[in-house]
Amino acid sequence: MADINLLQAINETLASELSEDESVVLLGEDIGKIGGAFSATEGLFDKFGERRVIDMPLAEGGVVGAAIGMSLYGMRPVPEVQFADFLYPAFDQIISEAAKYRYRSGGQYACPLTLRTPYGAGIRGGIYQSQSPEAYLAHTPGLVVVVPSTPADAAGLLRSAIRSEDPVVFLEPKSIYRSAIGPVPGGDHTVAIGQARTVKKGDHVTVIAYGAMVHVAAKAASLAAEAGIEVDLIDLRTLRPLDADTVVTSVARTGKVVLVTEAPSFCGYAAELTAVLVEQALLHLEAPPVRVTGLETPVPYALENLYLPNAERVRAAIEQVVNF
Amino acid sequence: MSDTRADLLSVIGADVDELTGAPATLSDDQLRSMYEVVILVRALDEACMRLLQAGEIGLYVSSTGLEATSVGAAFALKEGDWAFPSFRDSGIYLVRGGTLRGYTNQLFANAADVANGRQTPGHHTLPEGRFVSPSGPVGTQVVQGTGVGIAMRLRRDPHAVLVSFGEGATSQGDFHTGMNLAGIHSSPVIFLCQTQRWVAPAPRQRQSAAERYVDCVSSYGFTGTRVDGADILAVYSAVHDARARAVEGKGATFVEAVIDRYSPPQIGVDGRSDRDQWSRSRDPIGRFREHLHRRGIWEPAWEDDLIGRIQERIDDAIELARSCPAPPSSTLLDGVYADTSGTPSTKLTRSGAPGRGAGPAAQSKG
Repeated sequence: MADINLLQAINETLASELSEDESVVLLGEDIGKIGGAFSATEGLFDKFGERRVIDMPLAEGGVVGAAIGMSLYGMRPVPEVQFADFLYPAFDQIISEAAKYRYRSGGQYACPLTLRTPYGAGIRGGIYQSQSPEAYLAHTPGLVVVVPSTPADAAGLLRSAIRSEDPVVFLEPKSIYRSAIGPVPGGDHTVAIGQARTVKKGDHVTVIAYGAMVHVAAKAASLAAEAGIEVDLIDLRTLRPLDADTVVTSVARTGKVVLVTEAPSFCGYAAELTAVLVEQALLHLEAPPVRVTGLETPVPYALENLYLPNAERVRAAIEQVVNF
Repeated sequence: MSDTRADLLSVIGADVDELTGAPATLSDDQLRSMYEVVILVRALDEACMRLLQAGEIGLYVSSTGLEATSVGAAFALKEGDWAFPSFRDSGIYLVRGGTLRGYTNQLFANAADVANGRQTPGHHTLPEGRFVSPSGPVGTQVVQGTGVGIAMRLRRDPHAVLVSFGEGATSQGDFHTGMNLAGIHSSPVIFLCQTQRWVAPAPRQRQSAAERYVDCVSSYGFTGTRVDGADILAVYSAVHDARARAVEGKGATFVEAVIDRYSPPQIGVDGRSDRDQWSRSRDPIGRFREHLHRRGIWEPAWEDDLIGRIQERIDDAIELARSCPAPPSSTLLDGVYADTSGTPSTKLTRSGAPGRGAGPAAQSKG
């Protein structure tokens, strides 16, 4: 199988699910005739037509709310919010409605939709095209939140998300859309929701990351290896539900952990990981968990590279925790 | 807002021989049926207010005065249509096939409630009637109903969606978003705006600087009509015609139903003269009764018998609901996700497979 990038993996998976299941429908701003702001839906409008790939007006609440209606009716909509920074106008529909429909109706109604959205910094997008809002989403019972870091995982998780009966937020790490390249199995390749992936095995320290930060962590792991430190690198792949087993098992073995997120640390996802590790692996911990995160600021435009975790910051954290 | 009543569509009050359009086609039996429901809705509302005052239920929002809009609109729908109601639309629930026991079970949030007592009183769910419970946030249903309509068009399904809300919802962003989307996509939706005006106490905060809510509709690219919300046949007529347009592919319609509501004053204040004045001139039930009387369809003995039977049914439903226990604690985590264990499912299904929790349309296509 030829190597493709993350964007191509998403595009091909959407095409294949549109072919396989006539109730799958895409909707979003600029996704049809234009093919998407990042070309994620390129060619799909021409191939499947305006009844399957629907251009929507500039209203994220409308995109998500309409998708909710369509999913109640029995379709399997895949709405897109063009940047995760623009999820907030849709938040009432996402948090109050989609996440709660099944529970509040005793299972009589449900929203099997997959909300795709490019997230994260690293493309000089400034404050409103760089955010990582996963903590707000992962905090919500009723939502499923997944984030691939490789083309194979993008294809597999997207397929699983579309086929899931739950509302899934599919976060797409835009900074690695084109640079994350790899093989994607053909056919009906799926990746299970709720399963982390061990990228690289090691015994000295666990590093946990997701999305674009997996690649940053991998670089840091190589740098650490030069100093003789072997990293057990885990790509979470799903944020809600968390694969706590994989995470705890690793830290129980290494006793040391570094957590990497683009989003700021206060009340961020790494805080949840820290709590889980303290609760379930306290006696194995040989050092406090170290979080390497974005700064406690909105994402700046000019100095973005100072905001984001990079391989050197993660390597320094690895060294710090190993030497505790 | 001025009292611009001259432009309201009215049917009742006209000579019975001059009725035209949809109301003229209603048979005596259908009219009697409609009347039974409005009597039921009023009696049920009064019973629920008593339950609230007695502290037996935790919350309740009165629907007195809105019987003509709820029931008149619902009678114009057909099986296969969808309804996204507001909080005061028990009439829609009952016309769509909801039972009194289903209604009271939900109010008491007991183990027999189809939704496992998950929601506060008034959020009824009825998938077999394609009736979607009102949510907490006001206005979210405007977009969702439009979305159902879009799906209907994609599937070439010749049905319609009734989205009902009070005028407060028109202040929300979702109102604009949903209406705009409905216009762009010719969604087969009937937007029923129940504009409520108050006899007493003093008028509440304005939701709009405009004189009439229906005036907004031209900016969305479809049509609207303004009716006397206390005239059940006017409401029926407007919704019937709007539904016909919708299923013919002519898109959405906005129906503004103007209603004068009566709210009981505070304890200790004598509101009887306000109430009497409202009853005489604005009560939708009284007006419908007079109309039926003129047509020879109503008589006092029939009503007395009807009220007696209805009260008995209501009392039974309340007693059954009251005596049913709360949902077992073992159900607490159920249904957050498709997998009943409380965590997201790893089992994947294709669309069309009758998955648990998918709406009625999905199940029928499975």
